Amino acid sequence: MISRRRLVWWTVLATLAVAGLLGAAVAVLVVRSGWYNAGAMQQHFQPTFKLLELGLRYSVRHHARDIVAPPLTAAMAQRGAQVYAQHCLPCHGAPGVAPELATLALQPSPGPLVNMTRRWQPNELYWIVSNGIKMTGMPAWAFRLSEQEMWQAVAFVAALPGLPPQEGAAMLAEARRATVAPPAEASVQPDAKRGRIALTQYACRSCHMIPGLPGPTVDMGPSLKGLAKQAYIAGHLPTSEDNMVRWIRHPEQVKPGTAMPALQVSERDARDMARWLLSEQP
Amino acid sequence: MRWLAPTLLCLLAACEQDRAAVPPAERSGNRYVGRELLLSYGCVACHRIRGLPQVAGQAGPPLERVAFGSYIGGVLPNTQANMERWIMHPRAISPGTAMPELGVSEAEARDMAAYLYQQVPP
Repeated sequence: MISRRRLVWWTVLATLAVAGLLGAAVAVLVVRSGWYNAGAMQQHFQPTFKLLELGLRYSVRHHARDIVAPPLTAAMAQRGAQVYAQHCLPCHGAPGVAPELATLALQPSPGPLVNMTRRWQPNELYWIVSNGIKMTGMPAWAFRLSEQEMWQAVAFVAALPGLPPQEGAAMLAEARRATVAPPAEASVQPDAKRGRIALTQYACRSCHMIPGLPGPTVDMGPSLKGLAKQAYIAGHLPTSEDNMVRWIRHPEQVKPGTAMPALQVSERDARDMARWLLSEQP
Repeated sequence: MRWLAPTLLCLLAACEQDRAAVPPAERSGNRYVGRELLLSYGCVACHRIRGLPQVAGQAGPPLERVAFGSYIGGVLPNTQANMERWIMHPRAISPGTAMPELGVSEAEARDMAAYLYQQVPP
């Protein structure tokens, strides 16, 4: 005879197993039927939206916890206006300044930044600017801007609430006329790990399948599987790190008529990519 | 019950594929002849091709997914006609390419393309 205790345990386990299977079946049905509307015309349910926002807050707070913000000065904000005008304004607009039309319907909406310092601490804003936010239009700026420029942008966002709309708009209009010199590149040792991230930050994975980088099934460009063992790069250059850098940065010079575009990859980023592609890639 | 396992697998894994760049209706040539030609011209010395013996350390890109690629040699839109042109005269199309001119005839190139396009991608 089965003891009473064992019977209880078996009932609990069986119930959990059946519930789990049932849940999985429903999930498969919902996904496979295509009932879920993936379009950007239909917003999430309000509770879903709330949950995502909450999750975002906790996530950013957690990941930014070790970043120490420098004092945000007026001078930094002044220079930050230039960064903002060039990189943030198209999607976020500014008080009295509309974002670009194509970005207005982005879901989730990028939204205004004037109230951001009431939601985030400066170190958290910096983390968001630097890392971007997955599954939103917010890109990571770490591979486009220097740390200094990102802090300047944060300083400008922090200064926004105190600026009358007219003044802010004038400041941005002025900043837009100014040309920003690209920061000088420091020469550093190639870093394969950084290279792996760089490949995602220049959208390489959108055209190439790359072992070790999750992404879509795509054959726009050739798969980079086994690249390190291939004798030639793009059929034209003997495989070496220097040649890989050359190809990544200036494909048209290596192979006229190629579909591979030059993506404004910096020397350092290309070096890091080449290091990862030719050595550490699984 | 024979359908159960594939169906389940299909549901779990990604069974939805994009259409090939060169669909079966636009292909021509004899793939069985093409297979022999690919072997005799030594294509496998540089390229990985499904169903053909593999050589370690290759010079050219793998060709398993060639029916799905957007471009041939990175420069030509992927079509049956362009594939034949490329196999016959790669250096006329992309000067400086490591892919050699092997003196392949048009009929041979057509059959080789037929084999390359019918590979089932992994």
